[in-house]
Amino acid sequence: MRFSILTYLFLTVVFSSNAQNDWTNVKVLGNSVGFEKVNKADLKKIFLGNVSNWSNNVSAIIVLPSTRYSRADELTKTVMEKSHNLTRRFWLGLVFQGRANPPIYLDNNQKIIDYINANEGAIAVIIDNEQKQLKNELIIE
Amino acid sequence: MNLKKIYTVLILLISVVSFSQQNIQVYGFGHMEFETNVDSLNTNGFFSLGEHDLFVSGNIINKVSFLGEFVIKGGGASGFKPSIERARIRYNYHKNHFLLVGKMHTAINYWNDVYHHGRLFFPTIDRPLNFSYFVPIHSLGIRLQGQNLGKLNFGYDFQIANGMESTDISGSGFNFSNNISFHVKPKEGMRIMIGYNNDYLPTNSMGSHAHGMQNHNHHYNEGITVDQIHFSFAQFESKFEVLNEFATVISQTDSLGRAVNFTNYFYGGYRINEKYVPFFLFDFLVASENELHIKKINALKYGLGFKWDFNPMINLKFQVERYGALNGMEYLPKQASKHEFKLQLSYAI
Repeated sequence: MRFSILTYLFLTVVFSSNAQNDWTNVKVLGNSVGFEKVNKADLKKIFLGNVSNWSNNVSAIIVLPSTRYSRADELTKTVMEKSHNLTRRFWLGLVFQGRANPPIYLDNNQKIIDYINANEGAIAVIIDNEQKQLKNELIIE
Repeated sequence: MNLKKIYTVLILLISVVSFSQQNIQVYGFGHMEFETNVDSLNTNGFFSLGEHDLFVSGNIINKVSFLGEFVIKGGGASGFKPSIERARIRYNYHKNHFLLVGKMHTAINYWNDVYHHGRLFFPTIDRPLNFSYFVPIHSLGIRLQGQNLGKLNFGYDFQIANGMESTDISGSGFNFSNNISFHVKPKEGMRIMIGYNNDYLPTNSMGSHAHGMQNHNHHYNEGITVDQIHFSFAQFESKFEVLNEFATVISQTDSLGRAVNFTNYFYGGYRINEKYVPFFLFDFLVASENELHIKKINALKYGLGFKWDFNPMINLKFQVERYGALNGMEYLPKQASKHEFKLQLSYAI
C-alpha cells in the first residue's frame, strides 16, 4: 500500500513537471527552409542546434528571442522546454564548442519577422496574438 | 610578439570580420580565483587572475565559418602571455558533415571537446588531472567532422594534426598526431564518447599542444609512441549531472617497453534549480613503473563543491578538496598530500 502511494506520488510529480505547454499563439517562421509543416519534436531539435543545413542545401540560421523580448521565457519553455536563461547558456556552450554557428538574438516580433523575410535559411518562433497569417509562416503539426 | 601588437591584430581582425558579415559574435570569457592550500609544512593563500579570452565566431561566406580564440594567460616574463588557442575555418560540405582546418581543441574526450578552458562551462573548478599529464589539448591540422546523424545523434571526428612535440609554426620530422573519436547523444543532455589518439614523439619533448610541462619527464630524450583511448560519459540538462572521463594511455619505448597508465575523473552533481548545484569529484591517475613520457606518479584528488549560476553569463564555484595518492602502490611516487579551498568566479561578456 505504502509502495503504491509513493509510486503514485512519484508519477504525479514526474508527469506534472512534463505538462503540455501552451502552443496557442506560437508561430514558426521560416524562409526557404525546405518544408512548410513541422512537428513540435523536430522544431525543438532545430532550436537546439541539431540542424546545420536544410534539405534544400541552404544554411540554417537560428533566430532566438533576446532578453528584451517580452515573453522570451514563455516562448523558450514552450518550444525548447528550457527557460530562456538555460537556452542562452546552452547556445553559448554550443557556439563555444565550435559545433554551431551563433544564433541571432532579436528583441521583438517585428524585428524577427523582418529578419526572417530578409534572410534565406532563417527560422524563428514568436508569440503572436493576432490571427492573420504571416509571410513565411510554417504550419505546426 | 608583444601584447600591443597582439591587441592591434585582434582589433583589426574583429573590425574586418564585423564589417564583412553581420552574423558574427564576439564574446569575452574570463575567470578569477582565490585559493588556499594547506600541506604538512605551510599554509598559502592568494588571489589570482585567470585566463582572459576573446572569442570570435561567425560566417565568412555561406557554409564557411571562422572561429578564433585569443587568450591572455599567466606565464611569460611579464606575468602574462598571449596565445592563439583556436583559429579554424569550418566548411559545411554536406548536411551535418564538415571539413575543418586550423588550430582546434582535440576531440579526444568530452571535457576537451566541450569545455576546454571555458571556465564558465566547467562543472568543477579544475580540469581532470589527466590534462596535466597526457591529454593532447590542441591540434593544428585538418579534421573531418559529422554530428547529429540519425536517431542516436551520432557524431565523428577524424583528424590529422601536428604532434605533441610540435609548435604552432613548426614541427620535427614527418610525425603527425592521429585522432579518431565517435559519440552518440541518445537523449537530450547525454553524450557517450570514445576517442583514440596516436602520436610519435622522436625526442620526447613537449611542444605547445599539451599542458603537461610540469609533469613531463625531461630526462628521457629518446623516441616514444603514445597511444591513448578515452571513454567519456556525460549527462547534463537534468537533475542529476554526471561526467566520467576514463582513459588508458599506453606508451612504448625501446628502453623499458610498454607502459600502461590509467586515469579516471568522476563528477556528480545535483541541480537543485537553475542556479544551485552541489557536487563532488573523484579523480586519480596512476602512471606505470615503465612510464618515460611523464614522471611516474600515483595521484589522487577528491572533493566537494557548490556551483552558483547567477545567470547564463556568470557563475561562482566553491570547492574543498584533498590531494594525495591511492593506497597499495608503494612502488610509485605519491602525489604530495595537501588540502585546498578554492573560489572561482567565471564570466562571459
